[in-house]
Amino acid sequence: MVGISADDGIALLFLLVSGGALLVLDPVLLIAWPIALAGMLVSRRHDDQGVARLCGGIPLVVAVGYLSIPLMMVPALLLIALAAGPENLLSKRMPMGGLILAGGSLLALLSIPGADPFRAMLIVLILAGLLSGLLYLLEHAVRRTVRGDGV
Amino acid sequence: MRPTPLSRAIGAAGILTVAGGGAMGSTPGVLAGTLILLFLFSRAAVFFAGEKMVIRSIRTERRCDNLIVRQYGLITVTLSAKAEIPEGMAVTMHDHPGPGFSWFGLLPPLDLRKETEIRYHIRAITRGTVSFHGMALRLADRYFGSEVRFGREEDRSPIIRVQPQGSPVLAIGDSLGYGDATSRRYTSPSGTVVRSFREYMPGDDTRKIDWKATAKRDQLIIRETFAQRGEVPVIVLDLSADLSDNERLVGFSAGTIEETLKVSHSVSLLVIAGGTVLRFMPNERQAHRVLAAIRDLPSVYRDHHFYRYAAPSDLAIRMKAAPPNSGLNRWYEAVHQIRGIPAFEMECVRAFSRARGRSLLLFSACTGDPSHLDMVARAARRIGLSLHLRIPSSFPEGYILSSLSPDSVEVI
Repeated sequence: MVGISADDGIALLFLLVSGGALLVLDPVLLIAWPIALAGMLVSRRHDDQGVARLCGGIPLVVAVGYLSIPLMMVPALLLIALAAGPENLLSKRMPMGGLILAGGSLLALLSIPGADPFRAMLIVLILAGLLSGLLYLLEHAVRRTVRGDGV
Repeated sequence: MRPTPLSRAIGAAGILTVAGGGAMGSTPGVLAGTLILLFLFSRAAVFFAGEKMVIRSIRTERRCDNLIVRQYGLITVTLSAKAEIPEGMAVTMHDHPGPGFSWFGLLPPLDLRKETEIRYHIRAITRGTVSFHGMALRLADRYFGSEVRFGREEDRSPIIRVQPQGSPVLAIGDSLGYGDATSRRYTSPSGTVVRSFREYMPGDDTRKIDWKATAKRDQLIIRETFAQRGEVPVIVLDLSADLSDNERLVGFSAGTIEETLKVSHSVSLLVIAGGTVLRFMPNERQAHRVLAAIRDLPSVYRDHHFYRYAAPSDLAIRMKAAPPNSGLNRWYEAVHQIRGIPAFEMECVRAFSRARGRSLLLFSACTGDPSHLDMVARAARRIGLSLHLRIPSSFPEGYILSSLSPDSVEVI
């Protein structure tokens, strides 16, 4: 028996609203739906409501983006705060995270709307790959510091 | 750094949204996915900063109520740690006492957010000088987790001395005179090599009188003889299926062989892979021959497996546990009587009796089926060799030593 929690209910509501909006604006973008459904299944398996909220909200954010690109930032940030908890969004002691989020969003907002979506996708994915590589190297740098006498 | 299921899902959703949006020419899709990915990277930066803060500020100390204990004695260990902990991060410290100790169940972790020290009990199961293995720091927030291992000298202290100490294997002898510093021989009536001659003194063994020298000098002259100091080891190298473990075992045993031959007449080497004997070199005096035998070992395979081979003590326990009139009892007894000594154990007994050693150094990764190690240990006991186990640091802790009961254990 599959029960529907309050969070699942909200996510389903998101799906319905965003699905309707996308159907009117751009039916092709209904691809955001499988992501939302997969996210809900993952969250049920790992007992993590954050994933359900995030994935369920993605179609809504995309739908708002069709109305106005700058306005889209509001639901996007709201969604992240809802999924991660507002206390985790910005940390006073470690401003690096906030800087990356704010600077990166501003850069994306200024550059992506004017560019060809396919090229923008390639650039974003390449940058994400490079950043992941950098994180991997950083991780090993931290371990080296711990093993040596540097600490 | 390991991502949690939440951050994995966020990453997958971000990449799929960017890819879907780009493939279908939708700018809002690409933008939404980019924002999600940016959020994930910002959390990674926050986690890194937090991890560095904890590592830089952490101070650990391990204290034991007893530094000199008897074998199987109980030791109370107090692990204390203090660190600056960022918001939203769980930090726990896990102690790894290492293979020289045993304990019941899981050791309690030290949660640095709630407490500054924990206390637990361990039992020293091996004799000699035993040190701790190290400790591990586990950090986790909602998005990432990581484990940092501390294995430096200060993280392995204090050193516990477990009495009675095991017999010395390679104690370098004191210098007894010119040329003796490296030969490790000392004057002993039981030796065979003549060291010098001297005048007979009352109390000397008359069998030591050298009649030829006596006749020459016209006074009683006796022979002083050399004997070996310490023990001549028999080295047993047990190859495992893991290549990195093998490299370490072969490298370390080669080093031991070289060191031994500097101070000892000869060394015996037995190379096994599970229950298969690969090489045996009894009483070899030339280091290069032994090293050549180790260097070109064939690729490792285990011909014989003794999956959970029931030792006589195991059978005795089973027979005691079964009901008195049970048919199983007769079956166990038949197994015990008919099967005799396994062929591999017999081979080990033969090899050890040919080698002139008094102690056995067993280099093993202790992975897979360990029944053959029991057989090596039993064969060593039969011949009267003391058993010294040398294991790599990746050893699964504390599960085999109780059945082997070695005289000393060292981590290589």
